Amino acid sequence: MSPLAASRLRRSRAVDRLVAAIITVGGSSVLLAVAFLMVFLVAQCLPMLGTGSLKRTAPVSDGPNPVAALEDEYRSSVTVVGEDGAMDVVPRSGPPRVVRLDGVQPPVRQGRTDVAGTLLALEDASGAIGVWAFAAEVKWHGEARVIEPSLRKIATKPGHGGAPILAVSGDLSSPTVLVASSKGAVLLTGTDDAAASVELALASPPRVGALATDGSQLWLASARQLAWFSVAGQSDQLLTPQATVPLAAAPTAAAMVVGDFTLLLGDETGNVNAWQAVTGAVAGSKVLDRAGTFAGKGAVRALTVSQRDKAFLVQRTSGTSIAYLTSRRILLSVPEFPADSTIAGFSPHRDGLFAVTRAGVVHRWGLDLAYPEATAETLFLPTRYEGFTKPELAWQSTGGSESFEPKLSLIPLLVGTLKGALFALLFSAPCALAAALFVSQFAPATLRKVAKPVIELMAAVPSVVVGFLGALFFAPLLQRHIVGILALLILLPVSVVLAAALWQGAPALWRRRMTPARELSLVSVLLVAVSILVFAAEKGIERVLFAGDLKGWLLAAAGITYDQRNALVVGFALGFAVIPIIFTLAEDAFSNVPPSLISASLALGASRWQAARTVAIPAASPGLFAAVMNGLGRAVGETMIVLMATGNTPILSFSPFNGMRTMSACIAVELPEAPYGGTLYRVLILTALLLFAMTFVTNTAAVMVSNRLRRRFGRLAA
Amino acid sequence: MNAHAESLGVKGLVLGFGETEVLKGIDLSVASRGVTALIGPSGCGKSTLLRCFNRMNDHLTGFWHRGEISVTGRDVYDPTWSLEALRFQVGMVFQKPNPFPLSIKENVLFGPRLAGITDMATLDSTLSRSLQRANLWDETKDRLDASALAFSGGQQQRLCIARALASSPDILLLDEPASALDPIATAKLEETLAELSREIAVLLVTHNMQQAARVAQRTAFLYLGDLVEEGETTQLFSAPREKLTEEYVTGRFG
Repeated sequence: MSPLAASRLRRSRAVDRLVAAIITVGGSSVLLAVAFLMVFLVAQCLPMLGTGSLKRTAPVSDGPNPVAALEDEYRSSVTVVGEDGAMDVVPRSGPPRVVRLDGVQPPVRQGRTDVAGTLLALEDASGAIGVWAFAAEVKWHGEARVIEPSLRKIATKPGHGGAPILAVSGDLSSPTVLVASSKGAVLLTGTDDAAASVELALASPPRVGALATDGSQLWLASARQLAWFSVAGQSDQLLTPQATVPLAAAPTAAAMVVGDFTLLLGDETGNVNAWQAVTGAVAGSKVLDRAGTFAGKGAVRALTVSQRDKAFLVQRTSGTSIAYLTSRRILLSVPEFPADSTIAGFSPHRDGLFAVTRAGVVHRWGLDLAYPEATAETLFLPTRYEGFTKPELAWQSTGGSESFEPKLSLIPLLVGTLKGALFALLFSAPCALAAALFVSQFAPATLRKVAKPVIELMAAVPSVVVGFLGALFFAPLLQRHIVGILALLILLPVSVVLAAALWQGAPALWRRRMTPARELSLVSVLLVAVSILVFAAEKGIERVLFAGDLKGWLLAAAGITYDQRNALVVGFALGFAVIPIIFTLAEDAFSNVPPSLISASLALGASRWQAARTVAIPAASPGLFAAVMNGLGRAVGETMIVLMATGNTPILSFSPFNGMRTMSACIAVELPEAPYGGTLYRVLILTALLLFAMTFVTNTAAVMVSNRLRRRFGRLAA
Repeated sequence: MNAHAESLGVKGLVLGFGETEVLKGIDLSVASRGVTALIGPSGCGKSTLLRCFNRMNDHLTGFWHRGEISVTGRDVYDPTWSLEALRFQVGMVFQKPNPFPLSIKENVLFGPRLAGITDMATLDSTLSRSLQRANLWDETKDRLDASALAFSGGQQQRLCIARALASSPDILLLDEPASALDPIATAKLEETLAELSREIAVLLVTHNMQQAARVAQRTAFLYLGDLVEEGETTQLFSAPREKLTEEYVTGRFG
């Protein structure tokens, strides 16, 4: 070998190696990117599997006989009010700081805090009930942050001679206190200057009670009966319960879950029942409905609710655990919870737990409940939320208030996604496949040259434009001309088939003169003519068949409502986006059928349609299937069009006249506002993962079926 | 069997695609029995002429023609004669074997099934008779359900003949059917054609002059769109009337 040839060979080998390396890096980085995406999504979802954890800190001793305790939102200290009438600020470590409360006459007989952790009612030796507001002020001593809790007296209510204070609630200007009485209970309302009260009548003395935050409704439970009172606008009179229900076991503890909708009632058998006042059969009436039960061993000693969500602490004689109302689940047990605790509470942000024993030992835990609203059951099974009378599949991730119960069922989104994709395919698949067959097998070559790029150009229309047109142009149009458009959907194909059948009877000379181009123009004329006729007759059809109003008729006859942005609009708009994808792939599949086979069948006397049916379609079928599956994948993943044209209502409905919310649109709408790392964030990531899995499964199924078909018809297209 | 002595005929046929004129005025008559060979150099229009008779040119872009094309004395463009019916009468075999990826049986019965024949007895007899006529029966009778693609090229080409024969055509058009075959397969194919030509008219386009000499009773020589000479094969090869023919058959160009 000459030196020149050798160096040339070396150089070409070097180039070979370099190119091979670049290709390898490029290909594997694509695979890596996909794998990374998958791993990222899974990693972001995994924390949802956890049930939470408790982290105990060392207990701190304080004075004996505490009557009430509150923790500030920074969890810097627990403020304990003792029998001695002093406020002890117990820090995480170190000695408590004792502050005397002005105007309290020791000994303090009893104390009670509200659900929100801001009010404290104290009955002292004077017999009056003082209502105190709790606040924690942040002060800076140089660089050091100091949290200074304080109690300020905001109201004084007349005492009832040591009768138990059942509950306290309300705002700082006019707090409300519920006190047991001989007749039942008394609700002390109004201000110091204009005191008012409502007498509540109960057959036997109440053991426990609870009060709504705004003081508008309350619950009282005696040994054998649970009663519900609506006290809004009532004053200075004897009120009987609006609803009662007999109890199977004597109640021992009650607490109102944040949101004022559900009462938790613990009893001596160890059950904690969730009661809700729901609308009864008679208009305006309420009935008390048991919406859930948390069973356990040993009588319930106390119930404490979270100020943030639907979590609550159940103290039983057998042990203490934390449960969650929405999922009806016991989340975790608190093993070292002191059996002799008299006071317990959640930290304001529900990130901690504290308990104070009779001896004055303050126990504290850091609390992480993970994502209690999102369990496999709440995500995928019907769940009974507050305000619902039966378990339902619902998506409503955020509400107006902090006490809102998020409804996170993915089923409506899943159904919405499939519904949108299905309607899109119902419209686009027949259109695109027929167009591909026509263009590749029937159309004259000149038309083929124009049609293919034009249809493919549809894919270049930005989906936001398609969505815009769908939502703002087509949706109102469809609403006005729903009868005409539905009629066209049926009449256009029927008229073409009819015309073709009639054509068979036409004189032979006419038929001989027919060319594909003429055929196309005749069919176009036919389609336009039928459309004009249908729209001209539209009002008449609606009058004769649907009493002049299809929407009213649907509602009356079948109870079907009509939304302006509905599945039909989405079917057309999304279908418009899907058509070019199915068309391109299907056209390619048809073009790959060897012409020699088509010629063979034509030469054997097959008509164009017979050649297509017996040779072209079977040979192209793997490609056609793959084309439709690709279209499905696009329809499932498409975001902008469904975001704009579906109405985004996450309802579980299969009706073509209702809207929907798809998974992709839901992610687009809600992810930007979901706090990073929060439950909604994780659930939306799970939604993304599901979407990913769906397209993955669709594509895998497409490839598998496609390969199977290819084995059957394969060598046709070889 | 038709009564006409002439199976295929063209009169003053001028034909082309778009701007190009491929055939420039051809008169030819093919008898209802025997093999007629069309020879000539590449691009002379012999395949195009062959495809006139079953109107396969109609599917090509820009096709036009003037003059008469007749099959069994009838104009192929007779409006009362459907394209499908014409093609049942005029079978065709292509240059490359193009069996469908179906069984032997389904390949042969493709035409009859298109014609709407569903009677199993008729189909079975058509199947065996077509395969026998194509000299393929002995090789295939035990595996009629095997895929046609498992066969050799020569067998596939004879299967294509059997497939064309299943519609009982009066005429068989063959477009260089042996060009992709080895000598032994070619010999078998020629034998088959010779037998068939006792019953029907066979029009054979071939590149191979020895083949024309071996199987064809008559031969037509086309050159650049013109029919130069047509006559008895022996006469055309041994004593051509035209100088062009002589130069071609003696291999001075081609």
